[in-house]
Amino acid sequence: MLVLVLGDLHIPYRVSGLPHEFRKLLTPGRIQHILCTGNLCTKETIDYLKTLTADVHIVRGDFDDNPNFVDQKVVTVGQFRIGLCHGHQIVPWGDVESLSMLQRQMDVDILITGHTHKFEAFERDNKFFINPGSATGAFNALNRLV
Amino acid sequence: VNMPSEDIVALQSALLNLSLKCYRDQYEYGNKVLENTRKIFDNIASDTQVPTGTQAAKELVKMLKIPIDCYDILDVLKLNHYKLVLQLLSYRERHTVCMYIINGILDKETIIPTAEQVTQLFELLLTLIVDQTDNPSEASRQTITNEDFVEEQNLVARLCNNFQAINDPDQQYHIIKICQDTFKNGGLERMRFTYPPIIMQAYALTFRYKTIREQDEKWEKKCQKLFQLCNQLINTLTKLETNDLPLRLYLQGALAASEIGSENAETIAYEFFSQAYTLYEEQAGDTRAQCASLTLLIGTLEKVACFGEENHSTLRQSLTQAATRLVKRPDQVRTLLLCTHLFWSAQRVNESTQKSEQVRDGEKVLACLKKATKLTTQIMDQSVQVQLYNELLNCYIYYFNQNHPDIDITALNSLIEKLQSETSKISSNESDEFIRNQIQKTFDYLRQQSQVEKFQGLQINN
Repeated sequence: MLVLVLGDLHIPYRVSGLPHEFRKLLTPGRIQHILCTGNLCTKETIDYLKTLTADVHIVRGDFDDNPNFVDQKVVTVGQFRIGLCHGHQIVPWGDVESLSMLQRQMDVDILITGHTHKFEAFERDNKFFINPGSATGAFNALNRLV
Repeated sequence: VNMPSEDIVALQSALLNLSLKCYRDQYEYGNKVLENTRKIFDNIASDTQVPTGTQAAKELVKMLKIPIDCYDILDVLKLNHYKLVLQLLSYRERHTVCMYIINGILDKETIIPTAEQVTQLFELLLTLIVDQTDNPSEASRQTITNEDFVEEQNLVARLCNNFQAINDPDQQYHIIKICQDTFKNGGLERMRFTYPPIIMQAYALTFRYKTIREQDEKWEKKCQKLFQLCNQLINTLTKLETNDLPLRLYLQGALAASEIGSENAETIAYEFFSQAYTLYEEQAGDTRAQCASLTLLIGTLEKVACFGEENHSTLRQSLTQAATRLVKRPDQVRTLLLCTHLFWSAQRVNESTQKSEQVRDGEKVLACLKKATKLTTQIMDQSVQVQLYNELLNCYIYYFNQNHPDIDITALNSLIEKLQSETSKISSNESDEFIRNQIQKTFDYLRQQSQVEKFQGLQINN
């Protein structure tokens, strides 16, 4: 069972599209679930994700042009409750304590958030926290200069 | 020669195919074929377009696709008669070819590295960029409700991200200026799509200038110009019917200015932040949008570290007051809890050391917490009230862990007691199951922590 976790694509405002090599990996039928942290930003990208699998879950990022996405979502995959939230709503952004609070509030085993464009995967209080970063490597004003 | 025009084109097409495929590097052959094609039509009827939908038009479209398939766009741009043939076509066919060109560039991931090439490319794509006199649909069709229009403009927006002058920031600046000069003639409905990518490119460019600051002593002035440009562009977008996008673009600018830390960073960041705040105030009619925007303003301010105490204080207070003025009580409470961080981990510049330091104003944090608690008591829906008490408790736990001077185990204990008594009041029906579960999770967490030395004296029973 393959679950694709991605987000912060920022198409077309910051990048022109998903990298070619990545797209080659995404063949329809290969992936069962897609969990998206938001900031796609347009319907075009959603439609593309839906060609890969029917089970696509998206939460609202601060630049998504659809204001009707939910802010938080819980998806059950197998035995796991997975929480999804973009993360710009959690202040301070990327703060581990605050994310822990959100994990407790949502009562999930795995919490997936984005917004920082920084890939993370760690365990805390016996729960798992993931940030898929930006699937397109989009610019983020918060990144320290390289 | 009295051949019907579609046959002439088919012939020219075959010639073009031949020259491009067999004489790839000799651009003048392909160019000549294109030049001749144009001449033929000029002789038939000068200054007249090939009528839409005709066989000749179809053949011309096929012909124009050949160079796009054979070459990458940078080579196509060397065929300077290409655009002359393109101009022969009516709106619909030109539109088709332009979309084909952009899709070709995106599929091949071609990078366009110079301002001159961008200019040449825009000449070809004019049909999509500005209103065309021969467009049969009325101007009212150019709105976000028209899916085709949206698709087309999103394509143009995506294209902008392929304009990259690698290793030449000054060239990148020229490119951005050309984009601005071209897009500003497209009308507001197009600018909605075309301005954001160039604004984001401008922000990214300021970071590039910062990395080469050792080699370029003018880097700060250049960054200033970029921010001024963005200010102009975003200001235009404020004329759109919703403020969400310009507000968010201003906040990105404030963040960028703060991260760059150039000589004018504080002024720029303050200008951008206050513009965002003004847009927020104008959203007064839409509670949901306002709450979302305020959350973003708070999150951003917590990260912008370049303000001095005076500016920072003004902004902290404004946002906190704004939180209390939100319409719905639960929103007020939750947003106030977010504001506490503005008085704690948010940073501003210490005047004497000129270094960014955290605010760490325990008094104000406590004041926010107390205000939030008071507002919670005024909520009539008991389930919502209990849920908020839980969130309050979690916030107190946060600051307890942060070693807030006034939040000790006694404070926690009294809140725990309050929460426990309030919880017993809400009914045991299904809809409250979720809330009771959340509270259970908080208590479970506390029980786990009670082993930790810091939490000694914690009073939590079943």
